[in-house]
Formats: sequence, structure tokens, C-alpha cells
Amino acid sequence: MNAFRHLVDRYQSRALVHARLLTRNEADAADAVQEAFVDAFRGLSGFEAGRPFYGWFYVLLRNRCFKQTSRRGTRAESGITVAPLVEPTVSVEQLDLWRAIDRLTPDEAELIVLKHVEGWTYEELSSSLGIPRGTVMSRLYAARQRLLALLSGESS
Amino acid sequence: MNINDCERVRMHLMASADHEAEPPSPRDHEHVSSCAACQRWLTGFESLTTRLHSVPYPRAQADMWPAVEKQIHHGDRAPSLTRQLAPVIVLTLAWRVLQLFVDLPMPALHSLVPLAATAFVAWRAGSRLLAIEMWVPELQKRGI
Repeated sequence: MNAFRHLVDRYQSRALVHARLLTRNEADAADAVQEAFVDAFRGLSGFEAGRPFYGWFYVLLRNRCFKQTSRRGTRAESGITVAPLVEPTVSVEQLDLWRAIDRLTPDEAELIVLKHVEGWTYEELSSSLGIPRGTVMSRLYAARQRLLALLSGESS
Repeated sequence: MNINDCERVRMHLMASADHEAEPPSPRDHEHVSSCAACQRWLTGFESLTTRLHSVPYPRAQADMWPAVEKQIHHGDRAPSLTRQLAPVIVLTLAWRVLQLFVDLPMPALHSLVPLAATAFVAWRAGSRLLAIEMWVPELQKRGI
């Protein structure tokens, strides 16, 4: 059990950020992360050695986020936003960036964070999100365009 | 300047910067050098990439482990395992009832079916525990 705790400790912060971007709600995000860790505990026998743990876990987390948002209605579409989850030590520039990411749609924010912050390849994005590689490229392009527009809007 | 050209070149520049495509062709370079909009886009894209690479994850405000542990221990762990095993147990019992009332062919199957069912139950019950004991230390060793 202590060994599994290590995984929770290691991944809870990033899982919370990802869940929050998908659900747009702190409580839903926390519930989804918690349930995804329980799913991971139960399904660990299905985890293939050699695969990155977080890539496998992310699929569980994503499913939980979708269940959570559909269970609670469409809060993500209601325009309700919550304060960004940031440390006080984060610089102003980084804070602006997280705010801009927060203003993207959940799909766009997910792609930007997984690509740039996690460093996933198009292939990894394609298999985890269940979309073709070409779609990954075009969506990523659109998401970057939107983020650039948001950031240039803020600076002007 | 054709807008489709701009889109095509930008998509290729983006994929190339992501190390997912061949380096930009001389034709792409030629397009960028003659297109002010694509030059602006490229500058913005490069600066965005740099900014995103240096952005740290905010740390979780609270430890989630107590809640996760509670749900693992007191949640529906046992029912979940029972649910998984229930069809096998029912089928084995049905097989036994059938054995008592019907003269079944292939006598070898008479002992094989309960044996297979017992092996399946033991495997399902033990695999989760084994997975935790085996995978988690392995992941820790690999620094994942």
C-alpha cells in the first residue's frame, strides 16, 4: 500500500491540474483524480511494463473527468470559472500563461498541456485521446493559434 | 499570398519544431521570408514554445492519499471482486448440478471444470495484490 502511495504523491499535482482543465471545477477535479487513483489501484494488473505510468493513468483520469462533468451537468459550458490553482511563488509571466490556458476550451487546454508541459509525442497524444495523428496536428495548431491570440491580446 | 499556403507552411513548421516532421523545405523557407504574417506567426510560436517549456505545475494544496486510501479500503473493493467472480462461481455450481442430474459425456471434463474455475478465482483474487507488489517498486526504481 505504501508503494502505491508513492504514485499518488508523485502524480497528484499534475493530475489535479489536468482534471481541473477538463472539468473546470475544483470539486469535480478532486473527485475525478481520487476516483482515477482508485481505478488505477484496481487495474494495476492491466498496466504493461515499459509503458509510462502517467500515460496509462491519464486515460483513466480522462474517463473519470468526463463522467464527473456529465454527472454534474455541463458546468464546463456554463462559463463558471474558478480561481487558478497556483503557488504564490509562480512568476507573473507564468501566472498569465496559466490564465490564458484556462481560457482555452478543455480540449485545447488538454492538448497544449500534454504536448508542451508533459512533452508527449503526436503518437502518444493520438493513442491516449483516441484521435488520429492528423487530427492531433490540426487541433494542436488551432489550440496554439488561440493561445497565441489570447496572450497577444493580454500584452496589447 | 495564398492563405492555404500560409496554413500548410505553418502546420509543417509546427510539426517540424515538435520533431514530428522533416525539417522545413527550401520552399517553406522561401514562403516565410516573403510573408510578413508567417514571420510574425513564427516569432510568436517560438516564444510560446519557450514560455510553455518553462512553466511549472502548481503544487496540490492538499494530500489526496488519505481520501484515496479510504476509498480503496472502505469503498466497493470487495463487491467489485465479488462481481468479477460471481459468474464463474455460478457457472461452476450450475456445472455441478448438471453433473448430478444428467449423464454428461467426456469424463475428463468432470474434474477439469472445477479445477479451471478454482484457478481462475485464485488468479483474479491474487493478481491485484501481486501487481501492486511487483509494478510499484519497479516504477519507483525506474523513477516513474
